[in-house]
Amino acid sequence: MDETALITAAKQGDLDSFNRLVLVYQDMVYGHACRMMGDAHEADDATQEAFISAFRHIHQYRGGSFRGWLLRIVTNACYDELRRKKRRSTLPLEPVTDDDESNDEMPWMVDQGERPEDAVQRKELGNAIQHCLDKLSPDFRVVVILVDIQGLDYQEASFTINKPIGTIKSRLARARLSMRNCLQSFRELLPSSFRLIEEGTK
Amino acid sequence: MKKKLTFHDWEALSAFLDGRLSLADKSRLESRLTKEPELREGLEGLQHTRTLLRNSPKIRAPHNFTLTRQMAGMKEKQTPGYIYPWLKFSTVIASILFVFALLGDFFVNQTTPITPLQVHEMAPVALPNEEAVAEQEMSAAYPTMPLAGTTPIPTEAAAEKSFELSNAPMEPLPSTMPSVMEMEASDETEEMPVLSAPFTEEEDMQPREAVTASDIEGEMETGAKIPTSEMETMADQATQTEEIKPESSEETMAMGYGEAPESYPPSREINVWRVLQIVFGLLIIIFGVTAFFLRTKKII
Repeated sequence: MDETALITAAKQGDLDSFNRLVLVYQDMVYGHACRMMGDAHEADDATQEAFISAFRHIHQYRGGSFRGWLLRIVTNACYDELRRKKRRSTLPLEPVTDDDESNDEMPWMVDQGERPEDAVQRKELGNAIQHCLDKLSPDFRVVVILVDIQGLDYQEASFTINKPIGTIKSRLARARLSMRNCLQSFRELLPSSFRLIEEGTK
Repeated sequence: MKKKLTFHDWEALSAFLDGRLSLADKSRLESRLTKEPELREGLEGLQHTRTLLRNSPKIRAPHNFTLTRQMAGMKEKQTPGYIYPWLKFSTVIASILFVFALLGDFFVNQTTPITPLQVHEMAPVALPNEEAVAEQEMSAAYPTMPLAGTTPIPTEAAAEKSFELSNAPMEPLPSTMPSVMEMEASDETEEMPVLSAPFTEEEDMQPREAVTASDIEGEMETGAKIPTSEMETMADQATQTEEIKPESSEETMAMGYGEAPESYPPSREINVWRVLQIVFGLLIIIFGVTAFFLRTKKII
C-alpha cells in the first residue's frame, strides 16, 4: 500500500494505516525532535505528542509533502516544549562542579559508556554538533536541521515552518556561519579534511 | 590584508552552495570567487560545515511510536450492546448459581428421605437377597443340574456327575435345558426351542420346526403325539420356563438397581434435580469461562 492510500485510510480513522506511516517516519521525526530539544527524553515526549496530534488533525492535511507536514507538527511540539522548558528552567548557564567552580570538562563530551574508539569519536562529534545546534536560537536551529540534516529543500522547509523562502535563505546562511564558527572549537574531533581547511582559513 | 566578508556575502555563498542563486547572481559570484581568496575560503568552510551536518550520526527512534486506540482517543471495541450487560455480570451470575446449586443440594438432602446416592449405596445390599431367592427357586426346580451363573462346581466333580447322570437309568431329560444364561441371552425366550418332539419317519423327512412353550401347551391341550411321560416332563419344563421367565431377562438385570422399594422416592424426581444440578453446573462453567475471557481481553 502506497503512502497516499495509507493517508486516505488514516483520514477515515484507520489507526493501523496511520501506524504504518508512523513506522516509516518515526526515525526522522524523533531525530528532528532530538536535534531540536537536545535531550532524548524530551524528544521522546515531543515525538509522541506530534504523532498523536498528527492523527487527530490528519483531516487537515491537504496534500503536498507529508514529511514536511509531519515535521511541522513535531517542530511546533518542540517549540511548545522549549517554551515550557524556558519558563521552568533552573539550571545554571555554566556547568559547575560541587565546589561551585566552572567545570572545564564539557558535559556533552562525556562518554556515557565504554565503546570502541571510533564509536567514541563519532559520538563526541555528534555531541559537538548538538552543542553547536543548541547554541543557535530555535528559529535558526530548525532551518539548519531541516535543510542540512533532514535534507529538505527550501520549499519544503518553507512549508514546514510556514515562512517565505527568503527567510529560509537568510536564516540558513546565518545558521551555517554560526555552526562553522562553533565547530572550529572542536577541531580535534573534526575529520582531517575539515581541519586542514579550517587551519588554512586562519 | 584580508577583506572581511559581509552577511550578504555569506548569504550568497550559502545560496550558491544549494544552487538557489539566479543566473546573474551566480555568474557575478563566480567571478568574485576567482578574484577573492577570502570569499573562496568562506565558501569552502560553509561547504564542509554543510557536509559535516549532512553526515552527522543518524538518530534512530529508541522504540516504536505507534499509537494505541486509547492514545488516539478512540474507544475500545465492545461487544454488542444487548449482550454486554449480561456478560458484564457473568461473574456474579456464576457465583449465584454456584451457591444456589450447593444450598439446593443441601436442602434436598434435608427434606428428601433418600437421595440417589443412598439408593446406589443400598442397591448392592438388596442384590444378593434377590439372587439368593432366584438360586433357591432354580435349585428347587433342578436339584441335580448346576445352573449357569450360580456357584460353580469344580470341573472334575462336574465331569463325574455328568458321567453318572448319563449312565444311570433315569427319567428322560429335555434335550435342551433352559438355563439362566440362555434366558438372559435374548428376549426371544418364548421363541427359543425348548424341546424337540419325537418324529415319525415321515415327519423326519420334513424340515423340523422349533417347538416353543406355547406349542407345547397347545399340544398338551390337544393331547397329540407326545408320550405321557415326556408330556409330564415337558409340562413341568414349560411351567418352570414360565415361572423363571420374568426373572430371567431384563427384569432380572434391573432387579438390583432399577426396582426400588416402595419407600424410596420416585426415581423421576431425583433425576429432575440431578438434571437441574447439571444445568447449573454447565451454566457456572459457561459464565465462569466468559468472565475469564472478558477479564483477559480487558473488555470489562
